[in-house]
Amino acid sequence: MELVNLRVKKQIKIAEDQFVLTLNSPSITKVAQAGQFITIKLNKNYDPLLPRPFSIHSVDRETGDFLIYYQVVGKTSKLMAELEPGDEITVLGPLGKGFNLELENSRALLIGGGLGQAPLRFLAEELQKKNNQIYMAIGARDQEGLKNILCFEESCQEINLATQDGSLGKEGLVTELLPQIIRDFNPKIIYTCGPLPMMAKVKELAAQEKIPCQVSLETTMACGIGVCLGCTCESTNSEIYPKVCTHGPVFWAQEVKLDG
Amino acid sequence: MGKVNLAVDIQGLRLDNPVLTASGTYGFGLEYSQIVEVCKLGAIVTKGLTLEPRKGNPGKRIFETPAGLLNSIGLENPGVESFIKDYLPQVKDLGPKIIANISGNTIEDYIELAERLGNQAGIAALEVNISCPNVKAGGMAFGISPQMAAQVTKAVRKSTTLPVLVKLSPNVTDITEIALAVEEAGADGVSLINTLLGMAIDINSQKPVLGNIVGGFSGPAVKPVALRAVWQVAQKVKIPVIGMGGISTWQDAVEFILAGATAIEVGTANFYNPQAPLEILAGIGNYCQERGVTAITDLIGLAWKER
Ligand SMILES: Cc1cc2nc3c(=O)[nH]c(=O)nc-3n(C[C@H](O)[C@H](O)[C@H](O)COP(=O)(O)OP(=O)(O)OC[C@H]3O[C@@H](n4cnc5c(N)ncnc54)[C@H](O)[C@@H]3O)c2cc1C
Ligand SMILES: Cc1cc2nc3c(=O)[nH]c(=O)nc-3n(C[C@H](O)[C@H](O)[C@H](O)COP(=O)(O)O)c2cc1C
Ligand code: FES
Repeated sequence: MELVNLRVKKQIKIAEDQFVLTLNSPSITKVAQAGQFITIKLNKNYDPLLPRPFSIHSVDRETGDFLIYYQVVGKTSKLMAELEPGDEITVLGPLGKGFNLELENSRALLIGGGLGQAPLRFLAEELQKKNNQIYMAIGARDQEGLKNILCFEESCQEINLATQDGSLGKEGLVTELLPQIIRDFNPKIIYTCGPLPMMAKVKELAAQEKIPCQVSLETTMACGIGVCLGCTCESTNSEIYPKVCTHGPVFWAQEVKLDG
Repeated sequence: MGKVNLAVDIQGLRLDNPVLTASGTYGFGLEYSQIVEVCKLGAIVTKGLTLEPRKGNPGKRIFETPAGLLNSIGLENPGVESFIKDYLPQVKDLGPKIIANISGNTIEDYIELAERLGNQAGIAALEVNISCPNVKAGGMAFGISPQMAAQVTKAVRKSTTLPVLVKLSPNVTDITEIALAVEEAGADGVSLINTLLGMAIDINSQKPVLGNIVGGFSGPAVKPVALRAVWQVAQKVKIPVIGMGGISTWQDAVEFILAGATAIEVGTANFYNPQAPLEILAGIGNYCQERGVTAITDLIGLAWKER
């Protein structure tokens, strides 16, 4: 973990209100694990006040580049959209506990909903290095939400899409595709990141099929490093409220409650 | 010109400099020690400790508002025994003096906490929290009545030889009344302010945002209120005042010292600028140097002292 000022290397608009930001830090990319995140504070202004957490979308360990895939939803992300190459931002990271990467020569199913796709690219790239076959299922509200899917082509063997308005892929929720995919592909592990109801459904299906499942959670954060004790979720097996920034953001699905 | 003397003395609690980190915003110092030179701090105030472990409040615990932060952590902490056994051995090697912040439901709780921590090597002082807005029993209940505040202070004072600081709530009609009561009861210093009681409502769900409904409000937005409280209290009491509330820059810190604070604590600012305490320390030093002030103590209360 380090606290550094980094200059924006590149920013690409992917779709309406969606961007991919390129930053460079050889020391961060060297140690970053799939599923980990960084926090970004744009300037010294007091509104927005706190740094915001963003997953590491992908890393290039040769150049030291790493990517953030984000959506404009509020104060900080709106200002991020205006960043230009050379602008300086403050980054803390890498933070948190990433995905379990023990799987080798096997089959993994990755399920992303909306911007929950963000950490799955890094995950797919790491799983591919271990000679795994990767099946991807992505859901979004409409086709605008699926404009970044090309980034999964190299690492994934198959990509299935669903949109709620039917503008691309199957019309409906991505979870409706899962029973069939699980039957055909027989994954040894399932990873998911996205809206809580989606992850809850994935957890339920994985449990039915007795497939280990990891979920990546989001909460509001203040410190990002386990100090403020503000970023809690609910545990299924302990009285203590786990902290998403240090115990997560990735958890085994059966460890945490996903009912909101 | 010579070096500025930044050391301060709070009734026997000698600190190399007046920049401390506030309870609940620095854990036990271990996390930030990975990215900040914590050894340079004047002192670290621990997360609020209770007799038994506390799991804190359910539901959403933090929410940002313009230039402010609402929190309803609910004093989550591992309990005093675990602190002493599992954390203190490492914490006391960080370098700065360690001030243990304590919270109880009853006077007996405070006494037991003071006794447990009072004989631990590595604890330099106690900061008695009688102002937590996030727990139902105790906490703030002691902080809003001068009689009860005095009772707690007296009881802790009798139970330890360590310097006793009492942390005051701003959620009262007249904070100087409470400050005078705890001074009279034997406090060595007062810390102020704790968070202001606040809330936010989610306009989509049309329900309060925080799981606990109300929470403690901190950050730059509260600074004028905190500064006013320090200004008022420092003119009334003879014991040192430790000022906090929204301090983010050295300029903020200098304002608090001029208002009468002997030392300051940096809280919420750690979250958005982990280097804030050290930047403040350097800035205070430069400010003194530029103005020919040889000791930081010469600045205390200058805004109201007759010159
Ligand atoms: C571990 C982790 C990883 C993440 N990774 C990514 C990622 O890779 N990409 C990504 O895009 N995001 C990611 N996120 C989410 C991201 O952190 C948030 O989108 C970001 O913090 C938003 O900040 P903001 O300042 O832009 O929005 P804010 O201004 O903080 O607003 C946030 C939302 O709250 C709403 N809101 C504010 N006040 C109220 C109110 N009173 N009532 C109702 N609603 C209100 C706003 O309208 C907005 O929708 C991640 C989060 C976590 C915890
Ligand atoms: C997340 C959080 C947790 C806190 N926990 C405690 C605590 O355990 N005990 C205490 O006395 N004060 C606690 N406080 C109050 C701070 O120590 C400080 O008094 C207050 O936040 C005002 O200072 P600031 O605006 O610089 O943060 C907490 C504040 C925050 C933001
Ligand atoms: S964000 Fe502070 S503990 Fe997780």
